[in-house]
Formats: sequence, C-alpha cells, structure tokens
Amino acid sequence: MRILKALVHKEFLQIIRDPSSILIAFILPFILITIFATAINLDNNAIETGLVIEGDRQQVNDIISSFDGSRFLTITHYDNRKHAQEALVRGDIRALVVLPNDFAKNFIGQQSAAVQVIADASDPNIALFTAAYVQGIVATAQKILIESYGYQKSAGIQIEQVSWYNPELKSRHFILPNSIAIIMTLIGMLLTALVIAREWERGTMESLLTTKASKLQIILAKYISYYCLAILSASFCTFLSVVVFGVPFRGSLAVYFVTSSLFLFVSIGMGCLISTLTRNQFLASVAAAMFGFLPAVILSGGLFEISSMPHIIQAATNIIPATHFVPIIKNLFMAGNIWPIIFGESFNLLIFGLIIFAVLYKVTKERLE
Amino acid sequence: MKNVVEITHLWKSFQNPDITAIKDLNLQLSAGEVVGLVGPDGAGKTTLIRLLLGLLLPTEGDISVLGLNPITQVHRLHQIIGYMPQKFGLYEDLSIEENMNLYAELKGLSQEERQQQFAWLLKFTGLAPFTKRLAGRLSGGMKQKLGLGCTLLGNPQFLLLDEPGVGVDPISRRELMKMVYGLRDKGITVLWSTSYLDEAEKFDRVLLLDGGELIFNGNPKSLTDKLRQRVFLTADTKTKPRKILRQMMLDNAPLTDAVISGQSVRVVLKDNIKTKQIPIQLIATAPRFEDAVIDILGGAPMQPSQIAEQINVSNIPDTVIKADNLTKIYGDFAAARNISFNIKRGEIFGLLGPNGAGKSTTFKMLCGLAKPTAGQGFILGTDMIKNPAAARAHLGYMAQKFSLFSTLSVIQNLRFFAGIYGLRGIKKEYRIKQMTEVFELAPYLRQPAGNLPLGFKQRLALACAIMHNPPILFLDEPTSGVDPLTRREFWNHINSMVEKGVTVMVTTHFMDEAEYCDRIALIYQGQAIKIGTPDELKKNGETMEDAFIRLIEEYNPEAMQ
Repeated sequence: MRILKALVHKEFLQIIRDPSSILIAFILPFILITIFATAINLDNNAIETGLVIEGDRQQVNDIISSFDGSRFLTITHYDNRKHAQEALVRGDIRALVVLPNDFAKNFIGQQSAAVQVIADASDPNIALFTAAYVQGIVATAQKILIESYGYQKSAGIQIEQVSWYNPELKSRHFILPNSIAIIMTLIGMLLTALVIAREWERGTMESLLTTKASKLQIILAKYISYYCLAILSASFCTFLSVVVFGVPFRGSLAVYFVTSSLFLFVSIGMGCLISTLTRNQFLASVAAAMFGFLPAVILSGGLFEISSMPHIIQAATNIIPATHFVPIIKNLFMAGNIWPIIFGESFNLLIFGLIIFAVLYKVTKERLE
Repeated sequence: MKNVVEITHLWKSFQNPDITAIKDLNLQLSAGEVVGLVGPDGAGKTTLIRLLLGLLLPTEGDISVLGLNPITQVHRLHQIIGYMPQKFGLYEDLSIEENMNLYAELKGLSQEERQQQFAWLLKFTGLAPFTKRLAGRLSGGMKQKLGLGCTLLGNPQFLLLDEPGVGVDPISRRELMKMVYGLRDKGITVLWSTSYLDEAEKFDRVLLLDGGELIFNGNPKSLTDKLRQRVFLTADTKTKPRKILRQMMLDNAPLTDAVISGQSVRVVLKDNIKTKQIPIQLIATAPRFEDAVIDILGGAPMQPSQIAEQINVSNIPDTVIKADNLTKIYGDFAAARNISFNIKRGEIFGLLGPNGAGKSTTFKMLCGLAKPTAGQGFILGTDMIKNPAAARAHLGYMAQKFSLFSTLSVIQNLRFFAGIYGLRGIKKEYRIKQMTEVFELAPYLRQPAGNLPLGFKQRLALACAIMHNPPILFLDEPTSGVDPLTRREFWNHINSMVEKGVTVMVTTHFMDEAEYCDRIALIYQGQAIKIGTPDELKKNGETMEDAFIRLIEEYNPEAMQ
C-alpha cells in the first residue's frame, strides 16, 4: 500500500509539472467543446430558397407571407420557374419551391394540393429540411385558413411531427454529450499511452523493476492517477456543456459518475496497453489516435448514426468501447435514467475493462524479456 | 565468507537479432571488492549486469547473487541490491528530494531509516543545498551523484553501476570514483561497468569482456605490467608525428599499437621485439591499461589508409576556419561566450570539454546550424552567417551517432549522399566505387545500414561525409561509444587525409583522443579557457585528463570543492 501511494504521488507530481498533461486534460477539451458547441452546427437555419407562384398570387397571399416570415427559409421571389432554376444552378439559392397553377384551387378546395420542392441535394440535409419546412408552412397556413374561414378539413392524413427529448432539435444538445465521450476516450488513452512508454524511454522502468514495486502496483498507480485527472477533465467538460452552453442534463449525476468511471477504466487500460506494447512515445501516440480517437469519433454513433452504416461496419462498431458509452451518456443528458441501456452497456464496458486489464497484466513484464 | 557473485558456465543468447551476448562465463566476486567491467560496445557488459539483477534470464548456466537465485528469488534479491542504469533512472520532473523520497518508499524504508540515510547521503553526495531542484535541471555530474544516492538507499550490499561516467566530465567522474571507493569501507561490493579504459585502470580488479567472452579477469596492473619495456615514445619532436606514424605503417614496423600523443608517437612493440629493430629513436615510457587491452585484443590495425590516395586538396588559403568572438545566448544562459580561434590548412583542431560545456554549440555555429547571437564565423573566407550555403559546400560533416538512414542499404546511403552533394552520372558511380573499395564495404552493400557492426557504420558515415572530396571535415563526437580498435582505424583514415591537406575540426570528450589533435580548445562553461597544442596544455608528464582537471581548477577553483 505504501509503495502504491508513493507511486501515485510520483505520478501526480509528474502530471502537475508536465504542462502537456494539463494541456491535454483541460485546454484541449475546452477548445473541442467550444468548437463542437458553436462551430459545428448541423441545424440548417435560413436556407436560401426561391419561390415561384405560377397561379394567381392574390389567392395564396397568406401562404406567401408565411413563407416570407419563416425563420428557416430566406425567400427570394422569381417570376417563373426558368429564372428560378437558373438561380439554383448558379448557386444563388439552395432550394426552390414552386406553387403550381392549380395550387390555390386545390388548397382552398381542400383537394390534395401539390407543391414542388427542388433542392440542391449535394447536401442531402438541405433537401430534407426544405421539404419539412415547406410542409410545415403549408400545413400551418391551411390550419389558419380553416380556423379563420371555417373551412372544414376533409379527411386525409396529416402528419404532425413531435420531437421528443430535443424539442427544439438543437444539434448542440446531442453533439456535446457525444463529444464528452470522445474527449474522455482521448484523455484516457492519449495521456496514458505516453506515460509507460516514457518510463521505458527514459530508463526509469528499469529502475522501478529493481525495487520492491510489483508490476500490479506499477499498473495500478497509472490507472489511479490518470483516472483522477481524466474524471476532473470530464467534470470540466460537463460543466462547460451544461452551464455555459445550456445543454440539459436529465439523468442522475451518480449514474453519470459511475458509468463515466467505468468508461475511463476501459480507455485508460487501452492507453496503458498501447504504451506497454510499443514502448515508444511516438508510436504510442499514433496508435492511440488510430485505434482510440478516430474510431470513437467515426464509429461510436456519437456523430454518425450507426444504423445507417453497412451491416459489417455496424457489427464492427460493437468492439469499440465508446460505442457502448455513447448511448449511456446520450440518454443521461437528453432523456434521463434509461435503466435497460445503463445496465446493459455498463456490463459491456465492465467486461471490456476487465479483459483489457487482464491482457495488460499479462503483457507487462517484470523482466526485460 | 561466501562469494557475492557466483557464476558458472553462463550463456545468454538473443533472438532477433540472433546473437550470443555471453559465452560460457565463469566468475566469482567476493565481498567488499570494487570491480570494473570493461569491454567494447556490444561486448556483453549490460547483458551481464541485467542477468545478475534477474532482469534477463540466462539461456544456460547458474547464477547466484548474495546467495540468492536471480531467477526465482528476484524480489528478495532486489531488496539487498542497488542498481543504477545507464540513464541513472531518475525522474527529471521530480526534485532531488522527491526522487529520493520515491525510491525510499519503493525500497520500504521506515521513517527513521529514511531520515538517517537522507542526512548521510545528502552530505556524502554534496547535494544538500539543492534538494528542491528538479533532477532535469541538474548537470551530468550531479545527476550521476543523485542516481548513486537513490541507488544507495536501503543500504544495499551489492551495487551495480552501468556506465555511470558516460558523457560526464572527468572531474565528476573522479569524484564518483572516490565516493564509490568510500563505500568499500562499509563492506559494499561494487560492479562498475565502463567504456573508459583510463577509468578502468584505477580498479583493483577488472573484468574485460570481448564478444561475450571474459578475456581478462584480474588486477589491471598485472596486465599492464606485462607491457613493461614494450611501450615507447618517439624521440623526434621536430617531424610531424602523423608523418612518422604513416612511415612506420608503410615500413610494416613490428608494432601492436601506435597512436599519436602530442608531438610524439606512442608505440607498443610486438612481444620479443628489441628497440634496435626499429630504425627510429625511442624513449621508454610507462605502459597504460589501454595499451594492454589493445595488445590482448590482438593489436591495432597497422595498414596505412588507402583513402589519402583519392584526396586532392589544392588552392586553399592558409587560414581555413576562423571563429571571431562567437557567442550564443539561450534566454539568460550563455552556451558559448566570445570564442575565437583560427584553424590552419592541414590541421586537426579539437574542441574538448564535458557535455554541456558548449563545444557542440560552437561547432553548430561554425557549420551554420545555429545562428550566433554575436560574433562571426568564416569558412575559407566565406561568412558563415551571410552565406551559409556557399560556406557549407566546402564541408564534409559527420554528425554524432553517424546519422545514416538505418533502414536503407549501404549502397542506397552512398547514392543518397552522393546525390545531395551534387555528384551525378559517371562521377557519382566512380566515387561510390572508390568509397566502397577504400572502406571495404563491398560485402555489406545490400545490408541495411542499421544492421552493420558499429565499426562499419562509422566507416560508412565517413564515406558519406567525404564523398564530394571536401577540403574541410567537421566531426562531431565521431568515436563516441566505439571501441578502441575501431577508433584507431578511424583516426588512421583521418590522419592520412590530413597529411594530404584536409583540415579537420573535431569535438570529443575522450581525453586520449585529444592527443591526436594538433591544437585543442578546452571549452568549459561556454568559454574557451585554453587553446594550445596537447603538449602545451600538459605540464611535466601529466596525462591529458590531469591537465584538463588542473586547467579547470585554475579557471574556477570551486569546480572541485
């Protein structure tokens, strides 16, 4: 116990004295969270949209003003379809809405009223969003019409979209929790990937091996000290997200703490394992980025939806620890304590952590061969 | 009393690369001995130490250390043994005190023991005034003392030091030696590995390893004494010693070793050869351990170098290199201050000094790798600062650690360097062929440079540096970590080039190597504290190391406390 304490103390001193560990644990997350919160925005506010009315404008005045007043679309009016299409090709507008000749008649006559939406689908989101916004505007206008003029709505399916958990559909609300998961992978792995390799490079490992310290104590000291650093860093990120950027947190903090700890147990283990296998700081940091950071960004389901990936890749995402933490953290922030997910994924994380620890213990040598 | 170390028929082989590091070694060390472990690089010194510590497992044979088996009783062994690895095993971002606290805990010292031992160790190492300083900010000598201090915590009975003197100045090395001998009075047994043969001379007993075999085990004096009546200095101090040396080689004189020592050549006659058989007048001198080691290793190569025949230096002015008040300041630290000297055509000029003294900084300023804060440097009259590219075209540069491309083959390295020096077509092929012949690289051409034996790496590095026939050669620690035989071969090439008018500037921390230079600048704390010929620096029969220490003491009386 005394030896473990001395080793942990040593690790803390090294962390405090090494500006790069503070940089990786606090400055880097701060920059990442700020970027994720402000710069990366998957919401499409105010799409440049052209509007062409082919029939009598008088009859659809209400709808035109609805379009003009939309905060999701910036409307430019065109006389005819040809001009508007040219504008779309030039890139002046990203989408084009055409209310055809018979629109007014059908709209008021409560027939099914067709609206044409032409969008620049080089960004697929634009097409989807424009369609949804147009539908929303038309539906609202129709509702007003019904209410104010007493028209009876005929039978027909009306779609009403309700967004749970993130009613404002703010991308920040799901990006930030996921980026915390990514940052935790980064800190847990990158910092620890360097430390064991550093002991080998500087020759201190050889000294440690000739003292009373056992390999279990050497490993545990790394886990404990870097866990403390990483959990502080994670708390800092959470604080930034919730307090500064206003992301809601609906789950239990205790559950959050326990599951985060489990996830760090896995990440730190992976970092130590990489470090032990490479014994070289440069290789270790590259390996940590390749096997830790990139998969956590791309394949964890944090930023890119897993269900839209090919089946083989979907299966492969399961072997990435972050894939099992992202659902937990996403739910804790946006939905609350969803126990089946928490228990299921925590169990997976625990298994991951234990396997990695066992492998690490196995590959750590008390001799130089 | 039982032996501290008992080794019988020890073998150790490694796979990948496939080498046998220790061959059938038998050894006993008794309590209270201070034993030197010497041998060229790759002789198996570190492997032997690691086997004794249980950090490596023997392939065959038995080891017992302090009555314990390092394979099965490794934990008990580590409690009574002290080990200082090559890089001292210190945490650079921890202070002296924190390093000592850590190792005290790791060795399970009680509070009381700790206080008692700290007090003694801080006094013993003289580190008491600096306990709060970070280990990374200590000089090489202080790091070495702290490393020893941490190793001594827990009162080990057996101390293993792996090359503690590498890169440390001779003053600190002598102090350390004194400290370690002080430990003998406490009954501690010490095994001290070193590649400095002058250091080894001072031990009671020396183990000489070569290629994994123990080729000598005993008092270094007994080995040195065998060479009495065989070691001489040439009497003629008028003729350049390089000329004498070359002539002796051409004459095929019956020598096992011949090196330049200031104005003379130091020669070791083959056994049973009388001085009368040598046509030059000789003066007897005391043999050194290095002479004996060279002798036992089979003698130095005595063929004149072929390289000189390819060299053609003409039409260059008398003053080749000029340093004028070169100064380099990093922050508030002056790495070099007002360094001035002139190097003449065909001269070997040495920058001598401990690590961190400023010799590399001076060197870098003169080859345009560092910009001086003040002062000027000229190569063949070209201002190094204003026109570094033009000045550099006259240089051949051999960097520390050889800087070859270790994954490229020998021939690929040669082609690459020929290319960057602007050689093309037939000329390029011709030079590569020449270099291959002169340095006997033909059998290795297709091998990756990284797998070459050290001596061949050095040859290849030299071949690459002189590919473009430069009139000036810059050598930065060219023989660091290279065994004495290979060093002699290397200097043989350099000497013959200098004979043809090539000018050489070299940095070194080997004192004996400084003897090969025509003139030396002694660099200490960023200043050239003395410039002169080796004989001018040495006073009445001093060795170079004695002279070095005396000059530093004269310059800074506190250096030696």
